[in-house]
Amino acid sequence: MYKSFYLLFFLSVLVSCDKKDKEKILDELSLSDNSSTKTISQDPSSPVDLSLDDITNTALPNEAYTFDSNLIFIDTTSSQQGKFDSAVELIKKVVGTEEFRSAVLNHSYNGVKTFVDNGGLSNAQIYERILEAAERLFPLKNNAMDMEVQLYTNLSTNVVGYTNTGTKRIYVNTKYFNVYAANSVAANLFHEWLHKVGFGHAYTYSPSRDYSVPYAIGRMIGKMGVKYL
Amino acid sequence: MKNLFLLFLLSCFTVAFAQVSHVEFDENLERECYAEALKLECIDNKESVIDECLEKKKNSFSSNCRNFHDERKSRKTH
Repeated sequence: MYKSFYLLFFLSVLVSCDKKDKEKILDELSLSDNSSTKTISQDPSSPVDLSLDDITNTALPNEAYTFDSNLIFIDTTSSQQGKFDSAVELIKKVVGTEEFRSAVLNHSYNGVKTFVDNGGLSNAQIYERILEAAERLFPLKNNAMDMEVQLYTNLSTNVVGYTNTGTKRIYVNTKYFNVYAANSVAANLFHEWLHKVGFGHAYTYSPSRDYSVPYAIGRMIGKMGVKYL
Repeated sequence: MKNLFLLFLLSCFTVAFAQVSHVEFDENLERECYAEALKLECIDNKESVIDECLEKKKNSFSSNCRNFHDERKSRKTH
């Protein structure tokens, strides 16, 4: 009886680990020769402890200034890496501004200070979640974006990028990446990262979807980032 | 003990099959095709594009939007 259970368990583990996850594990263990990985910053720091008072105080919280990233880029050329590096720097600069905090805290939909698909959180709580930066998969509040980014090319599709909930990796289509300026790449990275933190949006376009957390805040990064290009 | 083991197995299957995919499409194209769907009255009162309507009025859409809707539908059903 138990032998059957063990067999079933083994099969379920096989199903849950798809090919991409295996590649990821190989990358992390440096067993794969054909993937060049680059880490932008070092290991996460100690957990962040933010209160709502810190968020709404007159002074910008320290975590806005120290917001960081632990991004691993898979198979990027030096020029692609350069664009990603600029995008990441731009994200940090924007998050470290009062303009960004104010835009998140005062974001409104239909005259109410709220986001669409906000998961029951207030604007201040959403801002707090961003600064804490605890991804669903690895919920450590380390004040840093933790993600893997892999470029792929599909010219016949209209997909800019995608990710799945069960992985820390996001996939970015070079069809769009190659023509995007760094602020648009930053907007896309932040949008995808907000999914990792747990925010979703409607699958198809609608005017209200623009007010969801990933779209609205991703767009803020893109717009405010223009001045850092 | 046996029940605990079954519970563990169940949670493994849940993790294996409950993955949600987030796909970001070209926003400009999305807007363009939403506007077309609006004109052809293929949007319901919850601002959702109605797939059956798109299928029925397929020939009235531009080729760009036809392709887009096909791709969107195929990504959704995968």
